[in-house]
Amino acid sequence: MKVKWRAWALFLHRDLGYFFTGVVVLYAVSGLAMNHAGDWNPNFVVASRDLTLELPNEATQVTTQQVRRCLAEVGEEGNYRSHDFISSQRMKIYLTNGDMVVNLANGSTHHETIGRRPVLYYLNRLHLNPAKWWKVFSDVFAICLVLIAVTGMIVVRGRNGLAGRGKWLVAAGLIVPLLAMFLV
Amino acid sequence: MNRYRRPRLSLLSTLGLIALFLAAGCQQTTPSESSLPVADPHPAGPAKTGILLVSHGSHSEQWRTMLTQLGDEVQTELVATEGIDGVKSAFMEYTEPSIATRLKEFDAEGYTRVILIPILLTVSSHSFDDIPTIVGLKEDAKSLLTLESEGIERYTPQATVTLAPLLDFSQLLEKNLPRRFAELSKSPAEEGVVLVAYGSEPFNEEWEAFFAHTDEVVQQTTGAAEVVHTWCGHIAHYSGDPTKQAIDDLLTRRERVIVIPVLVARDEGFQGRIIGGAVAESSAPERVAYAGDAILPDKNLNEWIVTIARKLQSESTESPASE
Repeated sequence: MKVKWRAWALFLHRDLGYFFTGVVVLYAVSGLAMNHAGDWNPNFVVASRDLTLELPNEATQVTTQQVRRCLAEVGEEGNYRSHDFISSQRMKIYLTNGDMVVNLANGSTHHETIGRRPVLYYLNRLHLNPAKWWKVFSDVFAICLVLIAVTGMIVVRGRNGLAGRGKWLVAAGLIVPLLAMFLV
Repeated sequence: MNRYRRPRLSLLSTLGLIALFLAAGCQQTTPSESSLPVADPHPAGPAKTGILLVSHGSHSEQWRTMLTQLGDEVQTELVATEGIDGVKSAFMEYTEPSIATRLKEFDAEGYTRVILIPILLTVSSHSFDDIPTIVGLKEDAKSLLTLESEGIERYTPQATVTLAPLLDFSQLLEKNLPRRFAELSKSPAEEGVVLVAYGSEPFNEEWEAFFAHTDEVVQQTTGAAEVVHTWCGHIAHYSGDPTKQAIDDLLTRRERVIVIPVLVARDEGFQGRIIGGAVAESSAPERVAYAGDAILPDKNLNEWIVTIARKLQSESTESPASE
């Protein structure tokens, strides 16, 4: 019996393409976000401000009550978790949504809050293979991507197919990664 | 009209098989749901102390091997110490065994106390926040989110965890760096030294102070004409440019420059690409001496681990209520 390989190619290309649309977008968007991780934080929204807290100049003199009072003055009363000393002159206050680093010598304080970046945080997490089952799924996805690529090359016949302009476009698309392999 | 005939086997069936396969995969545990035996606390059992050597972790196998070897080397001496019953090594990130994995093992084996010795140079987010957050001693908002996003499991053990001081406490570098300098030096009075360390953005003040002191000690001990330091880690965006700049600056004033990585172990990325690349691209590589080595191996580090473990063990025996 003659194998309808072109029909198979079309169905695989089309249906796998539909099925993995969401995952392609997921990897593309998070890949774009993480590609520029040097320029921004793709996972978290970090906000910071500088303020002054009135605390004793020495670590040994600082009490939890004083820290809580200072936090109340800057609107962070309910966010206190704990505090710890980096050195005799530097203290870190742990908050529920961030932290404050205090220079006890002059009270100057750097306050940072941190929160998950909506959507992107979760996409980036998936991109980093957080769980074994996701790794299995992304392996299947990777294999299917190869199938989608290969079947995509053979579904069209004629001058727009692989034998026509297709071969030139495939070759052109290979130039950049091949150059990168040897130059980067 | 569709020119192709539909294949007999519907692709939906194939996708269904994939879905079934995935559903089976869902039965696998996630890193946060390890299948290790559930901890069996022994509140009334005998006190049992374990030593957990924790290093940063790396994708580099060479790096990990050096740290694993360190654990193997100190194991015999540590377990020979009265009150110390076991030694394990863990990596904070990238690879197993993780801190959580090891703590679960300690719990399962009935340990009541774990002395966690970080093999980290000086204060950083990892030592000050991340490790304490992983073992349940702190709840730093940034660490919590970062650990979650990077898939690093937190685990609060049944055993009491005691954190040991960092390597800067040991004055290890004061012997280590002059030894490594001597291996490369020809004429100290004509040579400048570039110390290249990881660095830390949030703890830059502490790193600068520590390295200003280290520069001074190395200069006094070795007789080198000048000692400077620079960073190669996250603070330098993992770029060799600051190292190259420091080398080139010294080359304008000194006959030779000796470059020493102040990194715990050898990693192809750091000692190879970043620092090695900076040396190769400097204005006069022939006047630069560089071995691409690391703090390890160093018998003084082994000795210090044994000393600090014994000290903390004896302190905990003397005052068990102190924690």
